[in-house]
Amino acid sequence: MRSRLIAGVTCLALVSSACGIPYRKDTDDLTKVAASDSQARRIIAEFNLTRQEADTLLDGSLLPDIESGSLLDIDQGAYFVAARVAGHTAAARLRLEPPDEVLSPRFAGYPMWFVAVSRDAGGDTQRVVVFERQDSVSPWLMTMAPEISGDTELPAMELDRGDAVVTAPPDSARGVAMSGSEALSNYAAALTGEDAPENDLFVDDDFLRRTREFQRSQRSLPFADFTQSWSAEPASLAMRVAGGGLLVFGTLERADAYSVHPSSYIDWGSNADAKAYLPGRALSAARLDYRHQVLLFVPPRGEGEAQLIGQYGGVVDGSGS
Amino acid sequence: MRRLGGLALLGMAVLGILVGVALAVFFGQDNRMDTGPHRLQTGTAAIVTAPQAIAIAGPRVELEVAAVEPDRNLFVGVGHDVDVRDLLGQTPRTRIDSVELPWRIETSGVDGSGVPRSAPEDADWWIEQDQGRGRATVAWDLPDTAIDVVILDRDGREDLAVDVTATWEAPGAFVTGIALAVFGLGVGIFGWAVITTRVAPRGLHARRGPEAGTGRA
Repeated sequence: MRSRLIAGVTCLALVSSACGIPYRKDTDDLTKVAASDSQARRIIAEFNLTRQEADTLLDGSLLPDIESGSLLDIDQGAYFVAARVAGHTAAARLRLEPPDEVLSPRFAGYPMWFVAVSRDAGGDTQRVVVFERQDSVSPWLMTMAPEISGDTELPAMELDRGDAVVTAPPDSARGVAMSGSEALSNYAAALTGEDAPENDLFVDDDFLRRTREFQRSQRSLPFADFTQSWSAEPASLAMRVAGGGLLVFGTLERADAYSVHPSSYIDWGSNADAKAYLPGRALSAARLDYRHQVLLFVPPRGEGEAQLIGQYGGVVDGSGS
Repeated sequence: MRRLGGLALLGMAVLGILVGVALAVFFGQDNRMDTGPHRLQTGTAAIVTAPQAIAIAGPRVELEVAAVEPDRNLFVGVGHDVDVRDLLGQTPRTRIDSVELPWRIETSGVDGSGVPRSAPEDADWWIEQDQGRGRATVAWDLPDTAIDVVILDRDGREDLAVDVTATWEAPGAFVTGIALAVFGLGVGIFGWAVITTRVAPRGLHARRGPEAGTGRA
């Protein structure tokens, strides 16, 4: 009897496979997952082609075809520096390996975005890149690329029934200590100095430490007054972490300003950013503008401090007299 | 018990024969079942299905679209509803709200004053697309996501009228149907034998063996 049952099931399976048995689908779900793994792979491969050409020529005018937003500003700034200061070409290069992980939310309409974690073929770090598409006929543009160490693993994301990543509104603090927008503005405040109360909200990280060290060194200059300001652009991308918490992408704006004392001047020495943007000496004032893209983890409410996962930034403008 | 088993086999056999013959007859030797051509008309330059109109997934289908005016520059594409909605934007169109086979459709007009964001063939997300002078054909596997079928006059000429033939492609359906019918026939003969002779399915032998032995003793 059992063998007959198996034969019957096999027969039905054959019929099903041959005909593509129709079944009703859920027509109420009008959402689309931003990109499949294979699409993400193709998009990154296409990115690499243009980026390689741009890197070779240090031609920032090619980058708007593949990048947008603050990432475009940072990378064009890196080209600007690399073209003018010897020894900085490698820092401007980027070639991504096929992604190890693709995190793709679902959307009811455009714009759409997805996240991919890829190794930088030129180094031992990884990039957590965000590609965004504004409408159905625009290209996918990379808008975020915070760098994380080669052995860092992102926390597992909360997934919906179709294995799409669950997003969070930037201003939503549901279940977490602070919203994505608050996390960014608080982190910007923490970067302004070690006395800022917002430092208590974050795990002390290498970026905070290096920033304070730089602030101390510049404030001790005997021939100029130094001020550094930080502010956060509104957060636009946040994903929910499995078990609670948020991963938040955002951009911080930084301005370094020097007011030169009378009868003094600043010679930029080894500061490549300043040498590129402020050739020659600064006699009265100088200002350098930076953008830093950060990836923050905000834990569930009551479960500790937020933490910087990754960062990528650089000079985008400068002026002096 | 033996009679019951035989009747069950006969029932399975009839079902197998009916399904098999139906498969073979409906799909034929070319393994295709089609409906059409059916006339679709619009006062605009675009005809688009609503995502609710294609409520099934699984089969592979082919859509052959022929313009009534053969000089029309036709585009036919199948894409995710999110993409199609964004591409068409405010483009006026006739929307097919429901499709019932063999062929009954409900349509409604979508007013607008725009044009598609770009030439449709420039989009990179079409599941399937084709274009041609007076005729275009697409074939695709119906996915488990919300899709729209788009029929456009690429030159934007209004009063588009087309004849549409829809086909369900099922490679191997004819052979499978015949095989199923033959298998059903075999099961039927065996079932008949179980009822009318001492032949019995193995399961029935095993259960009845001791009783039969007791009876003979």
